[in-house]
Amino acid sequence: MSGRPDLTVALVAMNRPSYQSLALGYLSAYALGDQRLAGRVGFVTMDMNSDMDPWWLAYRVIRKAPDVVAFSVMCWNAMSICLACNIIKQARPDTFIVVGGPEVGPIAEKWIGQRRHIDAVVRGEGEETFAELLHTRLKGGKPWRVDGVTCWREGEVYSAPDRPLIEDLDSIPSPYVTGQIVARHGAAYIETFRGCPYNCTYCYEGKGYGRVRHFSPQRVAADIEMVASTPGVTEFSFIDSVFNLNKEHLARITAMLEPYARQGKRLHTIEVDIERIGPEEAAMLKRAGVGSVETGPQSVGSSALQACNRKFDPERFRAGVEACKAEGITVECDLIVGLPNDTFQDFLDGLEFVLDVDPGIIQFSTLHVLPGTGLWEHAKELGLIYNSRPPHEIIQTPTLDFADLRRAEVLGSAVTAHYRARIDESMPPA
Amino acid sequence: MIEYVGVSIGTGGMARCVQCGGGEEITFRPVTEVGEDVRAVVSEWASGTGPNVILVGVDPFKHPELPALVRSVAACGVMRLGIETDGVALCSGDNAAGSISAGIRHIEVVILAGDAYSHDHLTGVEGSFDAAMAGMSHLIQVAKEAGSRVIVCGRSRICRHNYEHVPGIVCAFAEAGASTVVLQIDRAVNRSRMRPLLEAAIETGITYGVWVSIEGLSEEELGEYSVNMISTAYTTPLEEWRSL
Repeated sequence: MSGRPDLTVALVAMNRPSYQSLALGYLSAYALGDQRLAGRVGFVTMDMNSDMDPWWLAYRVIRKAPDVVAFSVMCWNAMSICLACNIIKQARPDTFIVVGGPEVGPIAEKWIGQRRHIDAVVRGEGEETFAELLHTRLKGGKPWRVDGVTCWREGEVYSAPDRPLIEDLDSIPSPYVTGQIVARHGAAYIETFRGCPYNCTYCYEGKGYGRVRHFSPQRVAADIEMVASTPGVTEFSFIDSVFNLNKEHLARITAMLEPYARQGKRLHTIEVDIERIGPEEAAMLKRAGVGSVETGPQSVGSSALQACNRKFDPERFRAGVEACKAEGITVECDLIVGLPNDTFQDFLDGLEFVLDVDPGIIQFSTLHVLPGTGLWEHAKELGLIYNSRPPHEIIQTPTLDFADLRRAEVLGSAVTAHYRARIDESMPPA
Repeated sequence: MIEYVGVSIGTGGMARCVQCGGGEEITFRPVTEVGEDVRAVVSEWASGTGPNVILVGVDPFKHPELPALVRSVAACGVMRLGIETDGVALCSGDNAAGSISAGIRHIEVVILAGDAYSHDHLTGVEGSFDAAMAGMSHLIQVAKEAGSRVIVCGRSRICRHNYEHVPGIVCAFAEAGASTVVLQIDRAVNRSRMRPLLEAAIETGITYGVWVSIEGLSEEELGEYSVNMISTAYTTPLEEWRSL
């Protein structure tokens, strides 16, 4: 493309340091694969750190002078992005501001209704809708005609009909193969499917993307080859909600990864259902180059597990951790404080359980009642009181009052700090 | 929650209240004896995350064979290694960096009051409070720079001469970067006078994000604060641990 394109687009994400937003890569790869847009739209991708000052974020965007700016909004960056959007709109009123992502999609009308400076919300899966929206901008059309968009229509908030999920995920060009993302060591993530077979009520993954849809094995193999062959990349990962989705899937991915693992390529922190890992599956993970896995139990309280639509079998869980440890795979056990029906004693029991299992890493977090999740929909009947502003931390529950929640947070943080204060295995012998 | 076995490396020499009297003679156990105890802990450790050992009895920085002692203990195969110290030596020379590189990951610093005047008066060692606080902060900084996961905790033995200081003690530890504080209450302390001060200490900890655990009081005496009897890491003396 020579000279300035007809439409310049800034794609912006605020991530943890060095993370590359796969979502932004998908958006640009899909749009550039659209014949109506190719050669007419130019993209600049801005992966910023989540602790960046919103004024500087606005500065960086404004200096690029884009016609359209699109933000990937998550619970942890929503407040900063809101402020940045407000500044951008006032400094450059002609900039068309679009937001998307799990924080805004499920509550699009409310979100845009409270923020006149936002022009459009892309709801749900964004690739097709965003490309369509850009095409509409190019031809001077109305955004409210685009399915999957919520926007302003004659001063009122208007939601166009939902857009169906993309049936053929391979129709989304690979950000890696198309060069939209150049993999970086430790920061590259691959996706093999969308959705989640589980439907944990605190999580958006299963609900937001519906049933499980797969990228083809050929597509996944091409992504792996592209990432693993990138000079300097010896570590990458997968963003799949459950890496061991089923045995066949695990075997297939292992076979793809094994040649690279033999070359020293490693996978960090993939999410697994630990209760479906035995010696055979752990050996597969090892062959695939998996160095660490992340898993629940989130809680061991039976009432909370029921409210969260989760199953937990302590013995199977323990066996899964042991199987991974036997293969030298570090397990990260996650606990969430503030789940519905959990008591302080349940929280203590959870800590005792994970300490006893001795997984290697214990991660502890406070519940966030995220838009679009089951807990968000049923918060009132469950008696969950949470901050309506992102990141929506739980304030109190019927079984854990505000003070007990704060005590649990402090105790949990102290225990995890104690747990990780161990002699490094790499320490040279005396 | 996480058990450490307390292995004695000597007696005396820890920060203590001079008003309570009874100075203790400083003695040191030889490295070989300590090593035998630690090897026994490692071989007998049956379940739970570990084996974990904390060196107790005398400030390890006063031990004449400290480098050899720590290296010997770390080489026995412990998972977590801790020391208890008055913190004064942490700012001196390479003590902080040396401790971390030798394998120490859990450091308990003992103070008796939350301000320099009171602490130095109670210990009889001028300048010891400021040195301990600076030592803690220095150790945390050195660990951060080394990328080592070290936990720094506060411990205070509360007697009738310093019980009024408990909120200040927690505050001082929190500001120096401690993750937890243990308040070890002496039997002689008046419980009813102590109670509101303990509440203030615990609440001070929560607002700083520091867990305060209480030793020496019953569940009944702590009432709604009985949850603070939970210790994130507790020490079982070697002899007691063996008898369990």
